[in-house]
Amino acid sequence: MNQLTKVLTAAAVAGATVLATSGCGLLASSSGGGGEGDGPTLTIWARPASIGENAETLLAQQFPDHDITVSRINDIDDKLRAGLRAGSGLPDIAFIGGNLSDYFAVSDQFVDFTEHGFTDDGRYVPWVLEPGQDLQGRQVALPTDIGPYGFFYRADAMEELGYPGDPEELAAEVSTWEDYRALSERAREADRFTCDAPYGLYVLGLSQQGYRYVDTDGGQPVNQVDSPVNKEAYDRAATMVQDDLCAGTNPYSAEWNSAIAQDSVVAFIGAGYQEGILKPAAGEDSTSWRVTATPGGPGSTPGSFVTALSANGNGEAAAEVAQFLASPEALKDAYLTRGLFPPAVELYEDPELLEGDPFYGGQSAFATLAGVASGTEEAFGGLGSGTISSRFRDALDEVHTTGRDPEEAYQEVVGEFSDYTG
Amino acid sequence: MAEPAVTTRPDVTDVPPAPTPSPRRRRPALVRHWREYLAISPFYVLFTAFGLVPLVYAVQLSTISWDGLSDPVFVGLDQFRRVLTGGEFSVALVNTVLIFLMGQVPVVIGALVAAVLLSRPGLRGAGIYQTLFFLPQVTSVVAIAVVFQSLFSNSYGIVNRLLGMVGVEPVPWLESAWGVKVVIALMIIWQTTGYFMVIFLAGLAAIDPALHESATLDGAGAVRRFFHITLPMLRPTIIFVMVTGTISGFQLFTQPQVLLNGGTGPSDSGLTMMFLQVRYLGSSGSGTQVLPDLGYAAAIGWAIFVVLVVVAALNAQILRRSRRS
Repeated sequence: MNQLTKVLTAAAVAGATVLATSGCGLLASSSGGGGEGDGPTLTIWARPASIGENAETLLAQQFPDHDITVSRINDIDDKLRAGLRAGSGLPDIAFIGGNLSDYFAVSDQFVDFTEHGFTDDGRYVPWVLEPGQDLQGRQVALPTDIGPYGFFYRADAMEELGYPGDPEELAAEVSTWEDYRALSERAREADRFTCDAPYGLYVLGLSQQGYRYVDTDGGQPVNQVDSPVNKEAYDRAATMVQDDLCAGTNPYSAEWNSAIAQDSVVAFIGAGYQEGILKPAAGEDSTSWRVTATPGGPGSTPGSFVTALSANGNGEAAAEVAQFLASPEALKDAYLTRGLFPPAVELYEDPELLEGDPFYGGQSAFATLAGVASGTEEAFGGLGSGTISSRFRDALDEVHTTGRDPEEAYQEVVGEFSDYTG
Repeated sequence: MAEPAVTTRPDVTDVPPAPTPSPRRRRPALVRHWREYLAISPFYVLFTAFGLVPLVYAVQLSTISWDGLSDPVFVGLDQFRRVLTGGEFSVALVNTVLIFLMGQVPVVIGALVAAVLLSRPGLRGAGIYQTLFFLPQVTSVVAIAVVFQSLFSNSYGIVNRLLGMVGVEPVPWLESAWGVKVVIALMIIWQTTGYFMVIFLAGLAAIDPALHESATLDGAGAVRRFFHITLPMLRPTIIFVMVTGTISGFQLFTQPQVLLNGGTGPSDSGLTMMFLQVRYLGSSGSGTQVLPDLGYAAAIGWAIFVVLVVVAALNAQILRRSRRS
């Protein structure tokens, strides 16, 4: 082996070592999308469940000159936070979920869509744009899905309890929280539940009021965790738990699936996206479930948002592509392929989406939930909403599991966040 | 008179130095042995990148309060004070120790018993049993957690159904502090017994059969042979299992995290030390019940480090005593 060969071999070994150490980043799986041409090269990060399955095809048609890569990654927050900390390795476009407000501290790294041709022309339900604005009022995120709350129920079970099975008739009969409690009491007499877990009731109570834990006053964030709205929603949910009117099975758990499958929980209040877990739990061939308006009025939560970042110098192109991903065309694909409820009002009259669903006995669940989304006045959300509401969920769960005093559990959470302003 | 002899002392400057055999100029060791250094460099590169640098960074991180995005705030030693007096870490430490005792100790005993039974000469289908015991080790923890959720769910679980059939009141497995710990311990037992059993089988295979044969000839029964031959000869294996089992037991994270869907269970009963740290990292897999604080997470990391050092020292002490004996 001559000297040159030795050096080359050593270089190859060193190179392999470097590749091995950085391999995770270099070889991360991603799926190509978009066309290839002279246009900019863009990278999109999205959770698999937050973007339509045909996004690549739609992007290739819309932007034939762009070279766009869509990476579907589950732990997008971890990667995005790491990228923002390091100031490198960032995508051009990122989908962010319910914790969007966490990123407002570095909102200057995101483009303001209003500087790139976006105007509020009434294409979205009116309450959904404001949660995408940072504390300075810049529109740094555009909505891609929302969670209108519905009252999901089994028509046959309601009839057994002496209530109408028809969605509109039931909504008229169970229109207030008192009506809902009366229904829940009657269900318990028949050894059934019309409440899966208190958290749904709690969040709906906040959503109906457009409540936020941190509000702004003259541009300054103001803590209002311990507010009458929050207390009322919490107390209502806690009382249902204490009176054994909720099954205590949180969605996305094996126990929730069992409770639905075994007809123990015959109704529940949940966001539209919970249809994704209801159908497999109830059995796809079931035809007895329906959905109607919730007691106490309509309420919705914002879902995911699309953002564009300026770190790679592609702010203009990224903003254009991101706006397309929040367009009715892309949102329709996201609903049809992923069940992501669209915030675009134009789609609420789309005949394809309004078709009846055999699972709901031919009822158009989309039409009902679209009515809720349109009827919502203000969104629940804002700074810390994900973190703080989940702590109240824990508190309510503790009232259920350990019989803890609800007031004590409430005060503990209020104490934890008494100084929180984002 | 004789002319004095003129002796001229040769001037050192005039005479060139004698050609002494000088050794070749030695090159620095790093240059001379560059191939060897290159060969061992991957470990040091990786250790520096993923061990040393993060360690130093963790020292700096533990002196600030930082959510990872907004501006960090220097807090001095407050994060360590929070670890010591905040109450969370002590809850997590107690949980970790209890789950370790409930899970890891039965695992070692069970794996040893299973290995001894499966290593009996002439046992039919030993390979099948070994495979079956080892299968849980290569099963996804998430899948195991979903199965255990179904088995132990409070109102609709199979275990409570079976208990109900024999007249026992339903046990709130996942809604009581002890129930959660028991289920996590059962997950550990079910999943890791096979792994340690394989290690014990390797240890048993190394014992000279002649020892057992001669003991049998001397009239020793199976129990006596186990305590006087098998166990002493297995001591190195047992110590290895204890050390690795203790370290992994104290780093317990995945099982409670997936079993409790990112939550910590009633009264934080499923909160282990590593779980506590991950929660404050703001990781997406940790639920969203706390506001991220990387400084506090770093301080928790140091506390875990100290606990592990103490545990490792105890292990080393046991190892030394064992060698002496």
